Amino acid sequence: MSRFGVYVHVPFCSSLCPYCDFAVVVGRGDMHERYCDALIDEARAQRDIPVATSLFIGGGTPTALSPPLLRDLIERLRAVLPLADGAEVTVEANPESVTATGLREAAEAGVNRVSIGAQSFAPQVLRALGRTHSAEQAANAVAAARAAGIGNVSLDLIYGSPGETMEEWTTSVRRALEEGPDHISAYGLTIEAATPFGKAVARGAMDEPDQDDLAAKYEIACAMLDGDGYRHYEISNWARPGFESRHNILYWTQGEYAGLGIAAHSHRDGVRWWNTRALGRYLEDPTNARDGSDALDDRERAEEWLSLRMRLIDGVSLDEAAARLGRDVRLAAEACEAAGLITLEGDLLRLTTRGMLLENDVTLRLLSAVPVRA
Amino acid sequence: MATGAHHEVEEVGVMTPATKPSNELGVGEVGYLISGIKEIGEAKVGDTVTETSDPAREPLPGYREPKPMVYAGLYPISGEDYPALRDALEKLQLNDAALTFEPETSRALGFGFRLGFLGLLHMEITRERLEREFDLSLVTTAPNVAYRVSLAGGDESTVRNPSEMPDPGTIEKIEEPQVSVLMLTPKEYVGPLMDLCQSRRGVLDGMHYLGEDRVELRYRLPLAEIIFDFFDQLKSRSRGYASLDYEPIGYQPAQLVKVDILLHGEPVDAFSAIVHKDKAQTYGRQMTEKLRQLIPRQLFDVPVQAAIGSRVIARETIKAKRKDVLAKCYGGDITRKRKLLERQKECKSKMKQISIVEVPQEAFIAALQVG
Repeated sequence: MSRFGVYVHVPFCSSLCPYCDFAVVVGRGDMHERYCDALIDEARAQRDIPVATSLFIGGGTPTALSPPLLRDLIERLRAVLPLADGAEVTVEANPESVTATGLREAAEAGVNRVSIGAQSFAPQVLRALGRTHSAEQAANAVAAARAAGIGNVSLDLIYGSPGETMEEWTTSVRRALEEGPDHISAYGLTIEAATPFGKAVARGAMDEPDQDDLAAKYEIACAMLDGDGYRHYEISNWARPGFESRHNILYWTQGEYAGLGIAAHSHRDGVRWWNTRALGRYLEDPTNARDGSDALDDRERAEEWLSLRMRLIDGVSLDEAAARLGRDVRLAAEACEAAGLITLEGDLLRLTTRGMLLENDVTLRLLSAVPVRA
Repeated sequence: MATGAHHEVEEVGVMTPATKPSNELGVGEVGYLISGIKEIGEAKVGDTVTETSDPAREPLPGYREPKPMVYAGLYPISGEDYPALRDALEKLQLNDAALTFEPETSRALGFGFRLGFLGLLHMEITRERLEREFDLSLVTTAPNVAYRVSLAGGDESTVRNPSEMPDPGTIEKIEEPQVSVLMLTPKEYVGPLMDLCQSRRGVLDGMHYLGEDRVELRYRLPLAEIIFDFFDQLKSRSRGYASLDYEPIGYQPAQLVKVDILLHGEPVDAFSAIVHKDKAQTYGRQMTEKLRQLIPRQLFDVPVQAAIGSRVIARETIKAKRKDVLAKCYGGDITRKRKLLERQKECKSKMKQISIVEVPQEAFIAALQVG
């Protein structure tokens, strides 16, 4: 069965985290139902949509919706958009809004994977990141998911938060491992200009995360996670074998997906497009919410293929890369190998840990075919 | 008469200001002469024109060719613009007799010219005109003066480009142009101005009170110390009230050294400077620090050194970068990442390669800026 994903964006949050640049609506409980109705309208308007092998409800905080409303949303979506048997159905959740009963309702609607935004298990860091939950609540959320019978639990972690010590990071990773999740995502803090963190950095009130600190913390994560039964399958993602995120793999393999909701991105028939970030405009006509698009020519598609594929630790076939790009990248690859950024085993190019940290540079060199001398 | 070229006179006349042809131009008249001169070089400003059949014995005094005081290297950012730059300079020179230029090559900057100007203002105006009137994107090196170098074997040469300074071992003496500087200032700023001149290797020639409040200060200073920001400093230390005038007074020997800047062990000629030996350390430290900040991190450590001959006098290191990867790459990030990659590819194609260091164009230009 060929893969296809459906992404649904639920923008509501109880508060705004200072680092977040997703399309988020704080509060507005009065809009929850209307928004869900709009999502269904948009779903109904989808043309020729293939059977979905994954459904991902992200946000915002999907669990900001009341459990009955969330369940109702999922059931209504499934009535309109066909899901394959055994499809992966993910819901993003925040520890403070997750209960076993709530997740059980979601599970009854078909949710079989929960991605919990833990971010850190160090109280100082949670505070610095503007999170409204405690480390205990994060641990409880995992337990709640298990109690609800959800067999695939993922934890999100962020490193490089302002003032975070090395100790606080290793503690977070250790605590996360202790919860026994099936999947862990670890992201280096990125400062986006249009966020409270971005503005603080711009006016000098906050330092940009130190790149060397981020690099060191990443290496620690790799060391702690790789050895503990998790397979490092994407630059920022680890999973027990078989528990890789089917939906997210679509992104890294130029797969196709339909995005519903504000700011949702879609990729079908060679075109990428995205919805408006404005809630008002979306609610007015959810079937007409496209805000921008990007159609690629052959060269751009081939280069996009490589830049996304590089994120998967499995490696890239040099022959396939050459065939798609229409030019040989072996010389550039060998130069990257000499610089310790990749390993080359026959036809297979794989990033080393150092190369993962410098993936942008590696991709750039392969695409520019500029040799690097170490 | 200066070039010895012969031409047929096609037309003479006066300017009204439109051209108005007439049969003759007589004593005391000012006008024009058209004679099919094709080469710009054949029409030297200040020259005397005389009849071929009955030539004058001697040319009229004409005027003294203005001597350039300040030199700078001028390079097109894109090598393809070199012919356009050359043409532009020739055209500018037509109505700017004080502008001189000759071709020059730089390992770092490619093909360009060394221009001679009357002063900093002249340099600014010329650069501005070239960029605006001729639509050229240019890189200017820091301005410098011409040095008279006497070698051990007895030879003498004039060095207008710092990177051409001969090996210190072969040099017997270096002389630099001096100027006599006249400053007029309210008396409360005399102290700061004297400090300024002292810090620029100045020698006090005299101080006179013109009335109760105004002081005339005379100093002898090396021209090299004036051409950067002396005027700006003068104005800021005197809250705008002081005035400055100067004139050349010949050459003086001085303890000068050439400071080279090396990137990953390779000297970058565009950054070489000739400074007084007491200032070499400061220059070296400033330049290495500036480059450390401007040049992006590479995949390896890059030593940035300032050296006199083979002696390193300052050093900074651009540490290897460890991370540039995008943390998240999901649906909403893909298009942004692709566009970023396109921009970076574009930038990479314009990178200057110095040894194994990749230097973006803007960084290079910024590093060359004075200060």
